[in-house]
Amino acid sequence: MTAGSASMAAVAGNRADLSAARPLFFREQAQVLSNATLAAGLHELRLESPRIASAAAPGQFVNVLVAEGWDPLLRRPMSIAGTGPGVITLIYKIIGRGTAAMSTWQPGDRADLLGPLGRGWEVPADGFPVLLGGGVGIAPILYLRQHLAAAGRTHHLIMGARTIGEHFLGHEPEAGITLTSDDGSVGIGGTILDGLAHFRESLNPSGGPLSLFGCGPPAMLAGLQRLATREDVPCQLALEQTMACGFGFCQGCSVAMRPRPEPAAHSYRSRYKLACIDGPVFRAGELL
Amino acid sequence: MDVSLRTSLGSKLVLAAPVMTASGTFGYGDDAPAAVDLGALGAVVTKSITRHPREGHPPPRISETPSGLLNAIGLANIGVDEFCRERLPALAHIGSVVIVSIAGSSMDEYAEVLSIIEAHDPDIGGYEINVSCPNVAEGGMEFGVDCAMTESLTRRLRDLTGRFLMVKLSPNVTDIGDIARSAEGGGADALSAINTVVGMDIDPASGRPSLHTVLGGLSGPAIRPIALACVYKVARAVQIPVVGLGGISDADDVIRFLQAGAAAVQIGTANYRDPAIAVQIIAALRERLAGMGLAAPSDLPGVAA
Ligand SMILES: Cc1cc2nc3c(=O)[nH]c(=O)nc-3n(C[C@H](O)[C@H](O)[C@H](O)COP(=O)(O)OP(=O)(O)OC[C@H]3O[C@@H](n4cnc5c(N)ncnc54)[C@H](O)[C@@H]3O)c2cc1C
Ligand SMILES: Cc1cc2nc3c(=O)[nH]c(=O)nc-3n(C[C@H](O)[C@H](O)[C@H](O)COP(=O)(O)O)c2cc1C
Repeated sequence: MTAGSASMAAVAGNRADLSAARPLFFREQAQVLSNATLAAGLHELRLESPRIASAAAPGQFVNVLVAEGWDPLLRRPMSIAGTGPGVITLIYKIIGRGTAAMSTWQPGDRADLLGPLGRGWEVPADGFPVLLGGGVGIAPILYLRQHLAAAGRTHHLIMGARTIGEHFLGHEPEAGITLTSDDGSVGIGGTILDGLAHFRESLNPSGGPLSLFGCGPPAMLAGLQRLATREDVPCQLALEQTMACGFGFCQGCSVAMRPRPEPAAHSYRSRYKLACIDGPVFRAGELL
Repeated sequence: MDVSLRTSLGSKLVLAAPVMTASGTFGYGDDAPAAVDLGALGAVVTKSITRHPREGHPPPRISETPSGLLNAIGLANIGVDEFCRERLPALAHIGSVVIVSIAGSSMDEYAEVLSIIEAHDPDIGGYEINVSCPNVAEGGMEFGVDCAMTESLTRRLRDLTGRFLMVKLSPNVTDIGDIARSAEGGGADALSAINTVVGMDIDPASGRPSLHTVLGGLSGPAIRPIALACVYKVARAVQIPVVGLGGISDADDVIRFLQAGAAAVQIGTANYRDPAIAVQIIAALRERLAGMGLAAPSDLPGVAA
């Protein structure tokens, strides 16, 4: 395993001529620093992964090996939820075998990662950033928030969950954090879209231009997309399409795009883009 | 002992190692991650190229099964014009032999794609013909499931190129040995086997198939025994070299295929775990052969009776 990462590093250094045009990501054996419950159903995994940490940008992901053998076969894509010096953080939800295996990792264990992968968020110069994370979709949103905070850019975070136990932040609208809960147990009762409506009425009454960034379950993304289209608000969405490789080779993670007015008779990656290399972040307006 | 991995596939193609990357699992050759030492590979087989660009199938296109991957990509690719314009010039410099995979929905389409590439007099190792494509004129029957279609397609392409020409066989046939003989009769220089095995999965909760197209192609370690049996049968049916693939994930798997009669192998789905895995497998193969006291892969004994 370590042989793999060593050979990759050596070659990356030797081939400056070609690597300029070839994708640059790493296979890294990351050491687990901590792996703890963050809230009901959410776990936070901190990994020492210096090469990935120094190359990563908000919205990018890593592809995590969850089995020593060949079953399960594929790596599990996980958004980077934040970085520190030499460290990356992942936030995951246990939904199956791979994530269950991740939850058994102890400090000192090694995690085999590929990354950083994908095209992340673009932060436009104008528009007040409103960051929306539903459930485990909070992961790429927190990394973007870290980036905005470091750049001194004011913003507002809205995190949605079903109930108070699934939250790990405090509801502090004046400090830039709004929580929503389906059952009304904390923050604004309702969905994340209700949280956004509340923000616009009570915290952004002047109606200054916004720039939306969202990640979460399909229903939330669909709602955000409708709103962004209807009101012509710039909006980027991070998708979690199932993928096999994460770097464009398998062509498996197709995402349907809104048809062009005059589509070409034959095209490639126009009607269907790939979540791994064209995304996972897309502009809401380009998605079908 | 010094191990030499140099491998000839007939008189037209010599490989630095008997291990290539398989079509559809490693891009076009010039887009491999910077960290992969392409120079160590025997060859890179490109994604299958068609006459026009293709979008491929709607999602979902892939789903995981026990030790396997089901896919229905739908031959999404850039098309031969962009391939020749944007990729072909760079392929001479990637450090590895490139074999261009060709697909089509009619005999004319295969012939046109190959002729367009030939017109560039490219610096490539040759062609692999993906015959697991529906022949639209024959009601959608795949070229590779019919002996006559396989033979006439091979002969048509044989007449268009003097370069190394390899036909990639489908396992989804009654007798793969018969199809192999037809491709050999049509003038193929080598055969590769196997393409994916037809498969399907269903989400029991919703009753929905896991792929948009319902049926897909199974790959990965789950198909290795099927692939090995196919290679064994093909190698006994023909005189030309056989390139084995299907579920290969380490050096021991490579040795299994060589012992079953393959002259070389390809690595497919395993690349998705690590795009440098073929390079690592070649290094491990060299060590394994040295450990066995063998000077070359061809010194491996055949399958024991
Ligand atoms: C770019 C990207 C970023 C991601 N970021 C995160 C993250 O930060 N945190 C996180 O917890 N998860 C994230 N995911 C989703 C994560 O990859 C899946 O939850 C994980 O692969 C599940 O693996 P498993 O073995 O536990 O479940 P499996 O056993 O593979 O699946 C269990 C069940 O969940 C379904 N399922 C599997 N994957 C998905 C999916 N992507 N979307 C919806 N249903 C699915 C399966 O069909 C199955 O029914 C991300 C996915 C992508 C593509
Ligand atoms: C996602 C995917 C795409 C593929 N695309 C092609 C293709 O374009 N042309 C082709 O001849 N084979 C294609 N294949 C088949 C592989 O080249 C190979 O024959 C098959 O997967 C079995 O080998 P493996 O188990 O090592 O993957 C594809 C396989 C997968 C998994």
